[in-house]
Amino acid sequence: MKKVNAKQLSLALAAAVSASALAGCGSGGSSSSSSSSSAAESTTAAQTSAVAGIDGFKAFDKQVEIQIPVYDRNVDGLPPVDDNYWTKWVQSQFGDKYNIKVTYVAIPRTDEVTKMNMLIAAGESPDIVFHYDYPQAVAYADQGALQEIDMEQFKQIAPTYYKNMEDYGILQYCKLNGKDMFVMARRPTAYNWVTLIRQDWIDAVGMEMPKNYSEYTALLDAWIAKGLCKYPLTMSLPTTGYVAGNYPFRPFPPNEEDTALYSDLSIASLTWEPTYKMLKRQNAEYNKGYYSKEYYLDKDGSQAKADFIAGKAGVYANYLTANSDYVSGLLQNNPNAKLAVLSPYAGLEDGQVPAGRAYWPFGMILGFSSQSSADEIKAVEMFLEWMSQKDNLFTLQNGYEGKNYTLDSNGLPVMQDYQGEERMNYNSNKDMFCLVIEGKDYGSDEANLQVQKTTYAPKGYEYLIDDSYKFYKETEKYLTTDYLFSKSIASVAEYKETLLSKWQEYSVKLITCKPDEFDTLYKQFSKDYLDSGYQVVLDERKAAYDASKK
Amino acid sequence: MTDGKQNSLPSFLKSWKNSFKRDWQLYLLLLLPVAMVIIFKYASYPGLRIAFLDYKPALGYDGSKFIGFGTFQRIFKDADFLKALKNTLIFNFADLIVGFPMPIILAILLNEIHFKRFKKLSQTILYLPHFLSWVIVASIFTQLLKPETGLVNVLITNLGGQSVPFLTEKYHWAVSYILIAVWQGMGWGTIIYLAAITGINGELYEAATIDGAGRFGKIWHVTLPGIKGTIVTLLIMNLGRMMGSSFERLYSFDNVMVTDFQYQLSIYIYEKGLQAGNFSMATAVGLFQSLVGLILVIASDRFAKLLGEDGLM
Repeated sequence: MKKVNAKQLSLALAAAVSASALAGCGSGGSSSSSSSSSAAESTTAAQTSAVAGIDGFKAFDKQVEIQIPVYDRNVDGLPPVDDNYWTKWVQSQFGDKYNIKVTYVAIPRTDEVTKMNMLIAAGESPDIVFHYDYPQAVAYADQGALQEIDMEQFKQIAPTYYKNMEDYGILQYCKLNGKDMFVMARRPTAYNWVTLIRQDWIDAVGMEMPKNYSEYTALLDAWIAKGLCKYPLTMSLPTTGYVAGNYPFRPFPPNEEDTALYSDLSIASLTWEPTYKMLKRQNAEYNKGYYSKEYYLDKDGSQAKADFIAGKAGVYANYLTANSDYVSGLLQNNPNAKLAVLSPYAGLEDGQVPAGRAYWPFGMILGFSSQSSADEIKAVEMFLEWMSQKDNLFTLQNGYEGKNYTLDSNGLPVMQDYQGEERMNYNSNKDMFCLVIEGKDYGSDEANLQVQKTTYAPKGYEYLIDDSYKFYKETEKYLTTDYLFSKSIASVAEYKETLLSKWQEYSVKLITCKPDEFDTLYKQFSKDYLDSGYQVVLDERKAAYDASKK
Repeated sequence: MTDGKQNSLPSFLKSWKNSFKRDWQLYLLLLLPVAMVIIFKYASYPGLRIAFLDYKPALGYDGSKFIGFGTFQRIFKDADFLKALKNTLIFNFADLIVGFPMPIILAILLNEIHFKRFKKLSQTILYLPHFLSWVIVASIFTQLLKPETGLVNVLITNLGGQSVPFLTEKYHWAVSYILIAVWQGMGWGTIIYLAAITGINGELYEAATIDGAGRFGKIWHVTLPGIKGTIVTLLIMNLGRMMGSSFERLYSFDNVMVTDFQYQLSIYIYEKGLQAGNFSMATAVGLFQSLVGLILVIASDRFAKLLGEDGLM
């Protein structure tokens, strides 16, 4: 009896396996054929007319759905990023007019690449695949997730967007391996990345804003001695390979080849001399008690923020926005707290300059999904052009006069704290308009500064943006961009995740070890890091760099 | 059973037909679980060919290049894979050694409780952790066991002791990691043993009492032999999981100080396969895990049969 059962069972299983295999093939085949046919039969009704730009737009005969990614930053108290007043506004102002359904797809900001990869793999890629960092955008292209962009068509449908790319010198970056793979949003300069320091604590120990590293450490030591803080500085686990802290340790002016090899957003330069010096200093600082002993458990910066709000630490860096919870939270806990922008000279030793990373002229990098049909691409291009129109962009960035903003004497918008139905999403809808432009631009530095003060600073803290602007202007000449390869470096995408987790582990171990163990560990980790793929990346970059110089 | 003369059907089909007629309601009930297995286990089989392709999602199955065992060769040369494999085996073995006997011991202890309400209450409390997901368990323990601000360490330091890095030093982490899993799973694991114990003939206990066996004597000579079959079955099933690796559990207990031990196969798959978008690699490792698991199950089944047990198959 038992034997018979086993036989019957295996027979049934075999049948099941083959049946499902057939089913799998069938569905695979049919889906691929249907997608190719939809691409082929593209309804030519719309944009074939000769009129360029928005005046030539006609509604599609058959509704086209476009999926637009939008960052979800998990901010408390705001409506969902993919369904709110402004997404509906886009639908009513743009979508309904041209028979296009605009669907926003929420992409978690802290896990965006994984999410995007999942969508691509599942065949549900949004029509725009985007990323702020060039190496990752290249990685998407290398995976085959993007299709080549027909720039002539783009120019025809979206002339305003195209002209911006032309005027701001962005076009040259859109080509990869000789093909047009990206379009890119503009990036006007923003002054809202600030390192804040507790001015009231500086006053409490009778000192002044530090002008170099020795003054800085003297100040921090005084805080500790007076028991003002638990640990003066905030730090959390690194979440990218971008090593911001090694800029002062780089030679200035920078060596182009070194920059090409090592300076990068996606893979940390553990084995580079400036990074060694930076880690060595952080190790000394850690051992002097400048950081929380548990800082590496803070994977998203929330503990660092909480420490600053609670008055456990006195220095904290983040983007400043009008509704920054760390300013309001700090004031609730310490009504007497006073804030200042930490001087960029505070970290500098003799002979160092306040160097830093300069942005490229582009902000968000957009690619068009290889899974999109010709009509969907056209609809996306119409969408980008529509959003580039001055009036549309102004409303999306500022909302309605009398509600979200008022106009000042120069005709510039002054943002108000408006909480009604038409309230803005995070940071003045930035995650929606970032497809076109990274910030607000009203023509001149002065005008932009004025607007940024009310856009980025909480009420009463406009001076922070002023100070940040002043420091930016002073140090602008020391900012350098990363080297940009016009050819994709394939090993970057392959190794960046592995190297990121190694960087997290090694940087933490190097910072938290005893000072006399540092050099031995550094040597050991450097070797392992190179063996785990960094050497391959460096070799490939070197070859590409040398080739570009020939 | 059948007399082949009158019937043209082969005998096994006939017996099938008869039993189907008799028990069709039961077969109907079986339909749903079987459909589940087919859809979620077998329908994904064609996807396994990803392991042998240089798979790019955007290109699909047909567009991706066939590279045979290329991915496997790369994996087996990868030092990180070997580290993950070693950790997986060591930790699964430790889990088995520490975790496997606990539900048996606990079930016997529970069985010995005669005060009914206390027994029911203990059982309920013991089952509870099973219903908490690893994410919740890990976040609670991480908060409690933090080196500086965790409740437990605050208590220890206030009593004059040294802070213990329960989850932030790899050896301490290993012990905490295993013990927490035992705590989480042991209550639930008792259910099947308690059921088996219920099935033991009460007369055997009476006979043992008459023969002068005490409590321990009865446990040793009646209860344990009575559930031996169940123990062996569960052991075989557990051995099949030797190559398995719970992503949820490892990922939620993750921090950079313990990567040396925490880096196991599921983390390897996640990092190199999913995060880096290398699905071929993820599938190849998964396939390898399943094959080794299958071999282990079959081998241990044979072994159990050699020892005179029923085994699984």
